[in-house]
This record gives sequence, structure tokens and C-alpha cells, in this order.
Amino acid sequence: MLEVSQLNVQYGEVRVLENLNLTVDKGNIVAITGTNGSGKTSVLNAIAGIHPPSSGSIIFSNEKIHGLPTHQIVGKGLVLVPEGRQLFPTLTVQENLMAGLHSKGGLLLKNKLPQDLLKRFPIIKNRLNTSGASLSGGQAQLIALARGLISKPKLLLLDEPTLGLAPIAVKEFFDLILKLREEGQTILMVEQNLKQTLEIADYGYVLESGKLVMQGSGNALLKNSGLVENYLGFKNT
Amino acid sequence: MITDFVQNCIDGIMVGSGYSLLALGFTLVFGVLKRLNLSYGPSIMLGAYVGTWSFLNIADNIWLVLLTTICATVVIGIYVEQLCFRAVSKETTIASMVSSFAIWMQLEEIALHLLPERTYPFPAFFDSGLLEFGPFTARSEYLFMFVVMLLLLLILHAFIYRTRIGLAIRAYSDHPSASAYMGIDGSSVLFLAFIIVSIIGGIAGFLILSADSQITPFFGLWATFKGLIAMMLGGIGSLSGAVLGGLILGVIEANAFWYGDPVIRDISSFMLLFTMLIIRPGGIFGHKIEIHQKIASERV
Repeated sequence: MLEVSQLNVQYGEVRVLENLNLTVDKGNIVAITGTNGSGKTSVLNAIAGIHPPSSGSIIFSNEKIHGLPTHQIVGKGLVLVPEGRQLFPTLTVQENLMAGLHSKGGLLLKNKLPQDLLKRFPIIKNRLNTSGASLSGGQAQLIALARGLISKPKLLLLDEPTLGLAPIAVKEFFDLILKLREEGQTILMVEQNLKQTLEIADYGYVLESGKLVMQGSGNALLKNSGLVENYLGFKNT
Repeated sequence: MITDFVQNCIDGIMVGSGYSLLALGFTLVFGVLKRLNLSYGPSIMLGAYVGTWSFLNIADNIWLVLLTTICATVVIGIYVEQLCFRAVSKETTIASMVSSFAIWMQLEEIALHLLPERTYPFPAFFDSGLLEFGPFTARSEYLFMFVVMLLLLLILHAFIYRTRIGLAIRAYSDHPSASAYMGIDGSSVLFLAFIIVSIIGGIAGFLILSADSQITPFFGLWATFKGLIAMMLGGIGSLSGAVLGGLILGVIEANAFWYGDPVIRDISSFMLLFTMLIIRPGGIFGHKIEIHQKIASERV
């Protein structure tokens, strides 16, 4: 579904990604992990068209998308849930969700949200008229995820989705991600919560200083003592 | 005494509806861009100059004047958008404001070259008449402007709050980078906002000048002052606030004119602005928006 080849990204003179190769197959959860500053978010930003790559190619559903602006990439079914949620603060929850449907076209706003979305995110029902600014971190993250899913994207990009969440909210979030995978949703996620991420990931990539240093199935990476000691900083038990 | 006061308020509301129309344009641009477009008033002035030019040189047809005024204002609006806002980085708010001031001067010069005399006639939309409501009266052209203003407010409100594009404009205004993640094209939103604002400006300019029956190059300055004061009174970024601000400004001016002196009329509007800036800097509705956005920036 997504194929990234020889991707290079530069911020001015600083090269943040070097010759990165990455593949995401349909229906899989793929995780990108690594330490702070390793270039994880830069990968998502390059794929989503926020910071175009300096060289390399990004093919999504057999179509070149590198160099396209973000709004066009979203139209092709690739949606990013950004780091820090980035809800629209003065819009209501309902309007935030409706904004997620922008790429679907139409003239008038719909009055009703899709039933399957309301079932999956029960929190929405009681907070439809609450402003984005009034939500707690956990609630905001769920609404941001719902906003990303409302347009039924082919590929969902998640950037640090559990950052700043309480442990219980993190667990609920990972349960939800697993349910989405069962329903066939393809996900590429960047996470610092390495253990939980690799436990649910079909495949994982480990970055260090913009370079790919390790890759493999989630389980294989978890069992890899080199990764554990050198990059994850915890002991495998 | 009371009759005079009520009559002044009616007159103020009628004249103020023109201010409201101008404030709607200012507030929409500021709401979306978070940058001040000082050349909005002069854009309307030059658009109206083109309308007058068509009246003097092409045909004595009021619909032609209306059409050319609106079209010219839209073309000038696009010019301003491309030069002052699209070309200038989003972060450099001051640069946009200064360049819009430079364009103000440029537009005035163009107007003077187009029609070099100081004052020109502007055709009336229909024959002026005095409508009587018991002891009170209202001029028909101002009543018409008031009705058009209310209609435009309703249409604009429905567009902003009921359509997909309206939501895109609000989303962009709220969080430009997050709106891109939704598939919203910021450049198109900006362009569309300028088109809408220019159409409103063209209609406002036509109705105000049509009621006054004349145009001078000072109309740009006048429209900028009245529109900005009305927007500040009502609250930046609020459509209802813009309308209310315009009406309040009209009522204050009408009463100042009646009970004071013609000179006091303009002084009163500036005094009102200063008072509001001290007591409630965000304007009548803007204060709520300010608090809301402050909470928003802290939490989301």
C-alpha cells in the first residue's frame, strides 16, 4: 500500500532522514520507533506532504505522492493524526469531526455523524457541542483519532498518539488500535511507548539519527537484545 | 425629546447599516487571516470609482454601475490578496499590514488618475423618498441598505455555519496547520475569503455611495475608519459583533450630531472606540472569543 524508497529529508543544512526505505502492507500496523530526535516524526511529515523530501520516492496505492501538497495527499486516502492532537479549539467536537470529512466533498454540512463512529467512540455522544479546547488530553486524543477515521482513510498515520496520556488511557488507546486492525484498517504509527507499540505491531522500524538501524516483526524486535539494550533502554523479561 | 431620541436612533441604525457592511468585510478577513487589511476601504473606493467611470463613460445604467463596482472591487481584492497576504509570510504580520498600507496609497493614486476631479456623482439606486411610520421617518435608500445588510448577514451566517466550505474557513482560521491535515487547501480558503469580502465590500460601497449620490477619493479613508471602528466595537472575528458595532456607531453618531455639533459626530466615534478599548478591549462579542482562544491555546 505504501512504499518509501531512498527517502532523504533535510531541514536547511541538517539532514534528518538518510536513504530510508519503508513498506506498509494493507491491513497491517507498522510502527516506527527510536529515540528522541531520531527522525520518526520527519518520516510521517514527509509522507503526509508537510515537509517534502529532498530526494527519494513515496508511492501510495501505486501513485507517486512525494511533492504533492498535504490537502491533495489527504484526498487520496492518507490521513495524519498529528502529534499533540491539534483539534480546532473554538470548533465544537461535532464540527471538529465534520472537518475530517472535508476531502469527501459536498456543499452542505451533514447534521448526523456516522453511526459506526459513534458506536466506536461513545465519548462523542455526550460531547458533541463541547469545544475542542474544553477536552482533557485523553478525550482530545480520542476525538483526534475519530476525526482521522471519519473519512475512512486507506492509511492512517498516527504521530505519538499516547504522548501525555495517563496509563489507563494509553491501554484503552492501544485496545482501540487493535480493534481497528481487526477491522482491516492499515496504520503507520510513530510511538515512544516502545514495548506496547511493538507488541501490537505487525512490523517495526527502528531509527537512529535519521538512519534505519533495525527492522523486523514487532515480536522479533522485542526479542532482539541489541535493540533492547542499545535503543529501548529497558531489559527484556 | 423622546421622539427626537428615537428618531435619531432610527437614523443612526439606517446609516449604521452601512458601517456594519464595512465591518463585516474587515472582521471576516481579520478572522481568517489574523492580519489587518488596511487597503480594504481604498479597494472599495477604487471599485466604486470604476463604477462611476462606467456611469460617466459607458451608460447611464444603475445595474451596470452595481456590476462594475462589485467586479472591480473583487479584482482589486484579488490583487491585494496576492501581493499583501499570499506573497508575504504568515509569520510577518507587520509586513502584511505595512504592504496593505502601501497598496492603500497606490489605489488612491490610481483612482485620481482614473477620474482626476475631486468629486463625482454616484447614481442613486432608486429615487429617494421619505417613509413615515407614525411620528417617525426613514429614508427609503437607507432602509433598503438596512434590509440588504440583514440579508447579507443571514446569507453569510448560513454559508459560514452550514456549508462545508464555511467550516473549512473557520477551521483554517482556528488552526491553519491542522486544517491541512483535514485536506483543506489554505491558499484556496484565503482566496475565497477575499472574494467573499470583496463582494460584500462592493455591495457596501455601492449602497453607501448610492445613498450619498457622490464619491471622492476620501471615501477609502472614511470606509477604513468606519469599518475598523465598528469591527472593534462589536468584537474582532464576530459576524454579529460587526453588525452590532456598526449599528451602535451609527446611533452614537446620530445622537452626537443632533444634541451636539456636526464636528462632534466624528469625535464621538473615536471617543467611543477609545472607551471600548479601555473597558473591553476585545469588543462586545470579541471578549468571549479572546477568553475561548486563550483556553484553547493552553489546552489543545
